[in-house]
Amino acid sequence: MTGEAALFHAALQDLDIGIIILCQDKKIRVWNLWMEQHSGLASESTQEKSIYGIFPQLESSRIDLAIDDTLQFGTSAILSNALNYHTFPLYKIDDHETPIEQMLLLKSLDSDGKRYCMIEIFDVSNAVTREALLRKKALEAEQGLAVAENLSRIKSEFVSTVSHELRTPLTAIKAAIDLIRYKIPAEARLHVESMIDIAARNTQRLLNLINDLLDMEKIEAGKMEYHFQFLDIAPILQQVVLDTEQFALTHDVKLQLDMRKQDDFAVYGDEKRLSQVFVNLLSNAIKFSPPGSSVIIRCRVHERVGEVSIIDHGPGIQPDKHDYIFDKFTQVDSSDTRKVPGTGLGLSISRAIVQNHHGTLDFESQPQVETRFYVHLPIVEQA
Amino acid sequence: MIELSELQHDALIEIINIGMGKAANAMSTMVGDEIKLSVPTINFLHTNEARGKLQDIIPYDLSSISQDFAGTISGQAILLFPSEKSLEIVRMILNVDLPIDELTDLEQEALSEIGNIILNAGLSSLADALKSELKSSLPRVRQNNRIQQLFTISDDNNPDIIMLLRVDFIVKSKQIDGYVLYVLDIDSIEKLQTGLSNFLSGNNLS
Repeated sequence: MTGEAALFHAALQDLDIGIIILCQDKKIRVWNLWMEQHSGLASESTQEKSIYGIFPQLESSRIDLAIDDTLQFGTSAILSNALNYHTFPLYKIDDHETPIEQMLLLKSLDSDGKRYCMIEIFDVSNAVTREALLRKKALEAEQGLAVAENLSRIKSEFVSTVSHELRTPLTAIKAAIDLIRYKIPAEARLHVESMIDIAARNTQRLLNLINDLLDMEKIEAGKMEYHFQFLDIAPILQQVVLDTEQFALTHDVKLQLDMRKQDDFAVYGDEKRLSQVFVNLLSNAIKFSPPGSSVIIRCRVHERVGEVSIIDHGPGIQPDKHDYIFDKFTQVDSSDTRKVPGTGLGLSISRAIVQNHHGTLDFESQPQVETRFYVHLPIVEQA
Repeated sequence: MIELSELQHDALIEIINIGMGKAANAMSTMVGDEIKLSVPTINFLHTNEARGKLQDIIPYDLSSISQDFAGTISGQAILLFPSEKSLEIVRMILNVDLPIDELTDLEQEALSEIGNIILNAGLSSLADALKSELKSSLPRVRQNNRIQQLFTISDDNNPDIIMLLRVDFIVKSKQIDGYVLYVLDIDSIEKLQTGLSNFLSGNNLS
């Protein structure tokens, strides 16, 4: 062998894949070094022998039919690893016990008026191991997800049950305290007035917490009920201001409703839920406002969108909290010594309610200067 | 447009179905489960007509396995499935149920082989009947394609014709429809017609 032929022969020997070339009668013409190393058979021992003499198990198999087609019609074929298990008995070079995972390509070669079938054998053992691992991980992840979903469901049911169980006796306690406060003569309450106030305030806090928890569970379970109807925004905001006025007074905060006649707009919404959102935003603004300051409720109309802003001049929201402010149980001041009470659920609930009205709830804050929470709601034309 | 006589048309369907039968046998043996393949209809369409028809049938993503072939007739053979069906076929045949919504590399190779078996079966059956050679390339798999990306509209003066075959693929009693397209130029279509006439005059299909 000289010149180019020797060069091609050397290249063939050096390939990182197995090469077998069969002639028309399926006798072996080429058996490269890779094949020698992985089959344990020297090239000389295979020459001019039928492929079935070397591997009798191949007769009438899928590869046999593919070789027939390649030699007869010139078709090319792929024999994937997934569909063909260990086509050839080939083993790793350093471990003759471990079979090689294979992928085969069959091509026809025409030379000197004769047709040959070239079989390229690829070692895909690494890919097979990798994908087996991927499968295992994917199945584990799926099982993990199922466990997590189940745990989440159990947690939700637990929170819901406990909250209901807590709310019933608390409502009774609150009713009893109200009776003491409003029905018992003042002189009889003289020495216990402050204790009754503490009991009343804390009962209300617990009730708020439980109501928030129940709302959150309903939202997460998709069971929050809405009673949609056409509504004007002005009476809702006026009522919300009336409802929170007393609370504002206790914090020495003034409420200003900034709403001109042309700022009223109609929405298709649930009055109770929208009021809940505005009361929540307003209460937050009041709680964080410095005494003597004002909280502004501003209503504006921008083309097809109505905007309600609640503006305060409290400490505001630090930039590092911006991404979490609507997360559950998030408080602007989450330190152990925080002065302002709350569940950290109000904003998540409010945002979910607004989103259910096809609106958005967002904010902008300049700490110590001005914080503005704003609700955008689609305006509807009333029939 | 090609006008095949009723006899030629029936002969063509039978030739292709003989190939599909062989392919189904080969696959059934490989996977140890009964797989049936049949081609109930063949239509000849211009490229843009075929595109419109396929667009109606598979409006979303499709998987294609294609091979070029050359011989007495030359062109391109393409097997088409809606993408999600290709995933279903491979996983049913391999008997795996993975929570992964894309084919892995090895599954893609398996899909390539399934397409290769079906396309080669049709080609070799045609080659055998036409007493000619149909040398074919290795299959190429493309995922998440649109019909528009599959073949370009051919030159108006020498328009390509699409031989469109519906393939009923039955795996584990479930039927999945696929389509095989042979993209042929006018010259190849004429040779196919001549080949079919010769086949009918000189051979008996039984």
